[in-house]
Amino acid sequence: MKTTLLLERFSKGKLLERRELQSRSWVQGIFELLYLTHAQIMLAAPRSITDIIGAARNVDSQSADETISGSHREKATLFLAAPSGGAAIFLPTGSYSTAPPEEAMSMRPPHFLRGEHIGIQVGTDDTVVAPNDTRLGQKIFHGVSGTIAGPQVFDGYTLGDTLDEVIYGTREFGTIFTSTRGYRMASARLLIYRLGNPGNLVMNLRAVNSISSGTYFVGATILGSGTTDGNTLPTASPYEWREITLAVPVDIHPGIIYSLTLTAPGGIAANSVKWRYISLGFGNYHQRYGQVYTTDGVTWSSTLYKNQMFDILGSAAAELEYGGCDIFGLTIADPDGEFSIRRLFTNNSGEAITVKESGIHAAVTKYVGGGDHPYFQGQAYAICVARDVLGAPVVVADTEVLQVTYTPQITV
Amino acid sequence: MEAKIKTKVNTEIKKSDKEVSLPGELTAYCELVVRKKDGSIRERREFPSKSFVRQFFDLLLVQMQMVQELAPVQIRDVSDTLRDIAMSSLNFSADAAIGIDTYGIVAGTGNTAPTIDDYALETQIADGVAAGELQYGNVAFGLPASNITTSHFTLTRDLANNSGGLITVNEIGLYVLGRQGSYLNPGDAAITYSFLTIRDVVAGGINIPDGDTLTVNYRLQATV
Repeated sequence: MKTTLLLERFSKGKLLERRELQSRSWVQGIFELLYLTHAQIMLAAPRSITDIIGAARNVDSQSADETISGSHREKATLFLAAPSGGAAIFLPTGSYSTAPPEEAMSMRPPHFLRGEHIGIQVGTDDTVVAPNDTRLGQKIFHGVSGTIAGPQVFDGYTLGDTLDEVIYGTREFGTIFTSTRGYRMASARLLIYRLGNPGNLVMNLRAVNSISSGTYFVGATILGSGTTDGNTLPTASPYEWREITLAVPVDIHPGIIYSLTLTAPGGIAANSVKWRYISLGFGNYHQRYGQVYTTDGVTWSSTLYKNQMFDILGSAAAELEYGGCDIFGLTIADPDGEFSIRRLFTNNSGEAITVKESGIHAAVTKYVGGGDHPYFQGQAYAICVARDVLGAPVVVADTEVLQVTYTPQITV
Repeated sequence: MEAKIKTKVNTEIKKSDKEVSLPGELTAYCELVVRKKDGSIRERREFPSKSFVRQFFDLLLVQMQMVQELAPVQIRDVSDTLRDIAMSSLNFSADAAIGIDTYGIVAGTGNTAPTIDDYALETQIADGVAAGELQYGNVAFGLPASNITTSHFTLTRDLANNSGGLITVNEIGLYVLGRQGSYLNPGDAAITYSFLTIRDVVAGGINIPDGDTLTVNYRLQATV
C-alpha cells in the first residue's frame, strides 16, 4: 500500500502552492493497532503502547458482549475521522455499566478526546522519521494564538490554601490538571515549606492512565521531572513559591489529564516537605484539578476536593486551526484501489507558521470491566500511526490555509 | 491413520528483518515453510504479497470513521454476500483457533491471478484429514516491533497435511471477521462474517507431502 501526501496552500481560495510527495510515514503505531484488532488483545493481557504524549498506555480490543444490556461491542480502535480541533470526540471503549444510569459511563471524561488529538497533524520539527516515532517532533497545537514567549503562567490553582500535605519517603503527593490549550511546560511553582532537612525534592510530571469510581490512577511513565534542594526552603509562613524546572521541557496537550507530584525520596517524617492546599469540602470539586497521592510509592489514590497550590510556566508556539479530518474518495477499479484522508489547517495566529512535518493520529481504547457501578469505564488515547518530514518546509502566512491530503493506494 | 496437529505455533521469524518494500509502502510479506515430520525444512519460499484486496480498505474505513450500526457499510463476505458492517471490537479478528478454517490465514488450490475485487479464495482447502484437506492450527501473532528502518507485525499459522496424499497449495489468503451492525436484542449473540483482506497466488504452487506441515507467515510491514 503506497501513500501519497499532497500539500496545498491557499489564500482566499486561491491556490498558492501545491506539492505532492510519496509518504514514507507509516510507523509502528499502525501495526500496533492492526495487531490489537487482528489478535483480539484482551484486558487481562493488554498491549502497552506509547501514546502521543509519551505515556505508556495499556490498551486492548475487548468489549462487553451482547449479553450485557446496551452493549453493541462498539470500539473506536483505528478511528481517525476527527471533527474540528476543539470539538469533543466520544470514543467508545467497549466498556459498560449495568447500574442506572447506564448512560453515565458515556458522560465521563476519559471517553473523550479533542478533535486535534486525532486525524492528520502538522508540526515544526524536521528530525528524520524513525519507525518507532510515537509523535510528531513538535506538534502545532489547535488554536488562534500567536507565539507566547516564556515564561508565562498557563495553568494552576493558587488561592485559598489552609492546610499542608506532608511529603517524604514513599509519600508522593500532587495534583491532577487538564489544560484548555497546548503549550510547552518549562517549570512549575509549588507553595511549599520544610520541616527539618528533607534533602533533594523531585517533581514528577505523569499522565493519568484511567479513572474508576472517581479515583484517578496515575501512570508509571514519567514525562518530565525536575529537582530542587528542599533544605533551602523556609520553615514557616508565608512559605515559598518554589520554582522547579523540568530537566527537559514537555509539551502539554489540552484535554489530557496530567499529574504533577512532589516527592522527597530521602526524607522522613521529621525531615519532610509540606505542600499547601485548600480543601473545598467533600462533594465540591474543580473540574480540572484535584489531589492525587501515593503513600507506598505504588498505589495511587485521589482526593478530588483538595487542591494543591501550584502554577505552571512555559511558552507556546503559534497555533493553527484544525478543521475536520475527512475520509473520502474510496475508489476501487481493478487492479487499483484508493481513498483519501484530508484536513485543512487555517492560520489565524497573526504570524507566519513554518510547517516541516505532518502525521496521522488514530484512536485506541482501554476496556474496563463493567459491573454495577456507573463510574466503571474505559479510557481513550491517541496513537501516532504515521509521520512525514516534508523536505522543504511550507510557510503558511497569516490567514492562509494549508490542506494536507494522504491517499493510501493498493494495487493488486 | 493417525492425525496429528500442533496446538502451538512457532511464531519465530527465521529471516532477519528484510526490506522488501519501497520506502513508505505498507505491505504484507509472505513466507512459506514446509517442514517434514522430523521438523527439518523441506522448502522455504518468500515473496512480497501483492494483494491487499478491497475488503481491507472497506473494513479499515469502517473503523477509521466509526461507522454506526444504524447506517452500516455493506461489505462482501467470503460467501459473496453483502453484509451490513459497523464499528466493532471484533472487526479484523484473525485469531482463529485450531481447526477453524472460516477465518485467519487460509490456503487453497486455486491459481487464478488475484484481482482487487476478490472476496474469497478461489478454492479453499478445508480443515480435516480427508483427501485434499489440511489441518488448520491456531493463528498466532508476532508482536509489533521496529528496527532502524522497518516496523511490522506477523500472523502465523501451521497447516498440517495428514490427508494421506500430496496437496499442492496454490493460493494463500487472510480471512478476518467483521461484525454485523445490529439491531439485536440484548442477549443475542454477535453475528460475524468472514472477509478476505489479502490473497496471494503462489507461483507454481507449493507441495505439501503427506505428513508435512506448511507454516505461513504473513508479515505486515512498512519501511520509512
